[in-house]
Amino acid sequence: MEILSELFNMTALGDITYQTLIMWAISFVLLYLGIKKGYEPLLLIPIAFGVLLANFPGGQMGVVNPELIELEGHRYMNLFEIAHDYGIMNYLYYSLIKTGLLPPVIFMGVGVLTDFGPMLRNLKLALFGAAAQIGIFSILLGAIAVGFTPKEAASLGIIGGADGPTAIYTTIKLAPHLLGPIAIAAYSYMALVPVIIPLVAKLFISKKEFTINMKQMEKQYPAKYEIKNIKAAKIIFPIALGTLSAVLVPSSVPLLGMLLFGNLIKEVGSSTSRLADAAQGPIMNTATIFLGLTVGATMTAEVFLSEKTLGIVVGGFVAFAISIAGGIFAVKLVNLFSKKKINPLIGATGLSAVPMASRVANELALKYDKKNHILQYCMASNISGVIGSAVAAGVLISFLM
Amino acid sequence: MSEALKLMLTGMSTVFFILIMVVVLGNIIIRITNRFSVAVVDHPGAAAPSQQEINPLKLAAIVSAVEITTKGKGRVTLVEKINE
Repeated sequence: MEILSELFNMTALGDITYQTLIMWAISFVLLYLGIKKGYEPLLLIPIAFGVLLANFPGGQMGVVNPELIELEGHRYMNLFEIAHDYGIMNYLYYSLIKTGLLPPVIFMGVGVLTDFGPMLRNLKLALFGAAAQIGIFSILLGAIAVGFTPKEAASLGIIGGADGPTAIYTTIKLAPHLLGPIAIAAYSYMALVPVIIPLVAKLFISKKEFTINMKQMEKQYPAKYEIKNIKAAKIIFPIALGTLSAVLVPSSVPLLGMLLFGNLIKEVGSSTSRLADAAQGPIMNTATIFLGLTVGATMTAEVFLSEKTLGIVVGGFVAFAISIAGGIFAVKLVNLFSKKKINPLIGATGLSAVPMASRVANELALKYDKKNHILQYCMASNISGVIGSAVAAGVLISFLM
Repeated sequence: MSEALKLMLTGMSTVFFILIMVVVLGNIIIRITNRFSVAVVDHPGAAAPSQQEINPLKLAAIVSAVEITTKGKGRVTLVEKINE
């Protein structure tokens, strides 16, 4: 009997609580969505498995409260001590996430995958990427009104930027205790872009507006000048924009600077293609694995099962919807004063979620007119949305830190 | 709450200002490159015989596609429209 009792104590069976089971269920649902439904599988699957690892009692894989690693006099335990006392997941979290390292590294890879060409060809459409950031700041106000602290509210609002690494970076800086739920909400809603954009667009865009044909408008009101050397422009652009944004919003440099660097090494061409391949391949993939697992590991039952998580889930959705609506109404406003009409779907893609938002908007436009291909125009506002959300994050961080 | 409102106004103004600057900067870069650069393709002399027949944007797309698929080793020497 004593042997059986010792055997039982050796297992984790005695430590499993109903909260543990709820967290396992959440993890299984996320795994189902990632594997079966294909919702952002590259990030949702590592996050979901990180949740599972963190909630195996006795596994020492859950990220611990930062107060536990804090020493007297604003000093912290070193990484060896963290690994020794709290396990390897905490080592990874405090070295890669808490330092803010991984989101800019991922942004570098995103930069390689980004093509500023559509934006340079349709520069005016870039302004809709600014209008679509309204969701971030509206939810900031709303969240403060319902009891979130300004730092928590800013981290919640940034979900409206529809940019995973930006949301994670901002939350690490402002409200690291909410990292798990915010990352889950951000990536879940990004995966639901094919549902959310049509939902909001059909609410606010008329049938006539859906059929505004951008190519016809282009023929009627051609651009004042054409781009004779797009390659040179695409090489100069990231250097110039990086310098400008660093001077005007220095706190956006870790994200924007790395994005623009990644873009530059792609645009330079064959001489830096090895760097570009590394940035968008092995480096980005490795960063994504560790980001997903460690963010998931922050979601222990005691952190996740709270009222604030519910607030984040609801608030994140509203932020997303307001951002889409903000872009749509900005286009409508421009259309009031301009002869050259713009399809409001282009405004709807002003939030990040590149390129899925553009693809969804294009498909929606094609439903109303089979010849109305608006993908390249959507990409212009979509890419500017990435810049816009990184700038918004920079503003929030510099004001609230 | 008034602080949050102030942050909202500051944030949105900054985002708009930066993206207006992006538009201005983009226009300046395009004007400069239009003025000082001569070639549409990055390999001078390439595809010269058919440049007048093909849309420069299409030509740039073909050159980019060849560069990406051949990892910079391939060169576009001639782009010809075949009339069947």
